[in-house]
Amino acid sequence: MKKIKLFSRYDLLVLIAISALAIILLVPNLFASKSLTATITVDGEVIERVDLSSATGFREIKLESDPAVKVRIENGRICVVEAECEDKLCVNCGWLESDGAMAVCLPAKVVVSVDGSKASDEAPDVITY
Amino acid sequence: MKKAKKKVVSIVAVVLCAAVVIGLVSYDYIKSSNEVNKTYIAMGTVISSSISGKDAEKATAEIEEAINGLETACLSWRAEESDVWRINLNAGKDVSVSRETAAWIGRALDISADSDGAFDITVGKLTQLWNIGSGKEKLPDKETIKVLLEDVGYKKVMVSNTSVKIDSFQAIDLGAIGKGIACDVIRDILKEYDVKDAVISVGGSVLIFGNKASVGIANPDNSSQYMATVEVDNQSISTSGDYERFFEAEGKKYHHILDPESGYPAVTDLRSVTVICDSGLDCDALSTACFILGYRESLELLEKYEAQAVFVFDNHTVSVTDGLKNDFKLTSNDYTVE
Amino acid sequence: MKTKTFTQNLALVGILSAQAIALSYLESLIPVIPGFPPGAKPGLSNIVTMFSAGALGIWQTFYITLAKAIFAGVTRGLTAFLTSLAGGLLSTAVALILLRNKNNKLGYVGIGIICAVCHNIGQLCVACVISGTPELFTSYGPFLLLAAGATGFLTGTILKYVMPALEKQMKFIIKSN
Repeated sequence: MKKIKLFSRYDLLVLIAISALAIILLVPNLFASKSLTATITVDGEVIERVDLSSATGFREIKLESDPAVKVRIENGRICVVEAECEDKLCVNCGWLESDGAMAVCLPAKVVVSVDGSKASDEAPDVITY
Repeated sequence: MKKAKKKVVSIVAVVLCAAVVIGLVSYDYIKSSNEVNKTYIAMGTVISSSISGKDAEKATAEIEEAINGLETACLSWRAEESDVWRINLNAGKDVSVSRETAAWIGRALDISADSDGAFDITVGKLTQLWNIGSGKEKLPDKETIKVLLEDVGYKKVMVSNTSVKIDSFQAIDLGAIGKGIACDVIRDILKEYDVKDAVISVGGSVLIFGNKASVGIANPDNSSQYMATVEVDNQSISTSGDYERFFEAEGKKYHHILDPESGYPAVTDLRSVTVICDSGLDCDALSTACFILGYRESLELLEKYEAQAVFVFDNHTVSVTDGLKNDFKLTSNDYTVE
Repeated sequence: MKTKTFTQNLALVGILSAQAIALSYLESLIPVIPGFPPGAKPGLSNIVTMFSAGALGIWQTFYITLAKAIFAGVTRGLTAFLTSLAGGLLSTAVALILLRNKNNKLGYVGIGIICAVCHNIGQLCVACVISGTPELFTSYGPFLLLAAGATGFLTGTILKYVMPALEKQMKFIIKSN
């Protein structure tokens, strides 16, 4: 077996490389933007998934549900703007813009939900009401 | 030269071995860490399920089917030919029902007896009269309530293994425990499959299967937010609160939790009660009973069913049963723990 | 010095496996080191596998790694077996390449660090897959890399100083067989 030194100058390179790699990997962690996805389902079928964090501008989706429901996506948030049902509970939910937010139209069987990286480690997995 | 080549081949072999092992392991575990999330509407409420494990897809599909079947076959008082519908239609007669339905009603009656009638499934006609949550509520007149109140009474319900008989003028309503029953049915389905863990909410009644999960308790002042969290381990948890369904008339707020004694929404200093125990049915029934009984009278009942609870009062204070102290965490500054 | 007979190999692999296992067991007694991510262990048994990679051969080292993984599996379950095997195989492969390369310019410290890093990468791969959270790689990875830098430094240095003892042990076994 060849004689090997305890510490060669190449070891220093290894150390530097490892530290640099660790730091490079850490950087996106620190600046990670929270990703948010909105899922629109009608009667259990996923109609559309929208990446809210990258959604810019303004878009409206008319859902072919009964009664009809219209959804609007705008600058990283989503809401139900029109529903031809009686109670309008879903419209009253307003803008959905954080993880776990949800608007539901029971008669139309429409669910609009927003999922994203947890706002913090403390955020619960589910809510009882 | 030849030797060096042999060495290279050997090293490549070891690296390949490592790659194959990692690959195989990856494949196996990607399958088992497979998570399926689904939100849909059934039983007149929102069901959101998050299941992980090898059989997540199959379990999710079977649960959806079972929940729809549960509503039409047993629980709904609207669905024709459901067990509850037939019991109400044939009031005064023995009605043969599925073993499960009989067992659920039997359990509900036990809790009625232990809560001195604070929880009562025979308020069916009153519930229909008030019809809170329908969007078409009207304040019922006193006389009608008084008349209907005479027929309320869990003691008049007779249950055997496969049949149920109610008094001729009674009607039962399993609405208060339907979601909890669904949680129990779901738990039984999950046990049949290779599922690691699951978090399932049936309209706010939650089942935690497998690993510990953190459950937020809705803030009564703003029910889309939570005011505290509880760590729940392989149990059910559900909440009864005055903010869920209510209407306002003549400047007064009327919520949906009716007191079987008065026929009116329960008068209490509580905003909500959250109960944690092994069975979803018990959770639902106990949270309703505790809400009506009030804090003091609830403690004994909870102890009897080995349940833990969180009480939220209208003066923004919170009480937690002893067994829950370590797992409970207040997250809203608007509330204080007593 | 080289092993010649099957008996010599068998005896050496046996005793080195025992030493590696003893070291992993010792390590399991150490609580989480403050400031280090949980799961980051000094990796002392790497000392043995690195020695074996340099002084013995490829298959001998492979067997020691396997023995270590089986021990982890028997004592701590399937997951531990898989993480140990994945980490062990990766770091062993790299140690073999580095220590058997005639043009190697790295010192013990450098080799120790690279082995520790590879060991952690292997383990992290399995952990990511088992928990189904690939995000672990970016969230946990940097800390494990830094930890590997420190533990690799440690194991490399120790290897340098226990080398004579290990060689003496090897000589003794070869002579007596």
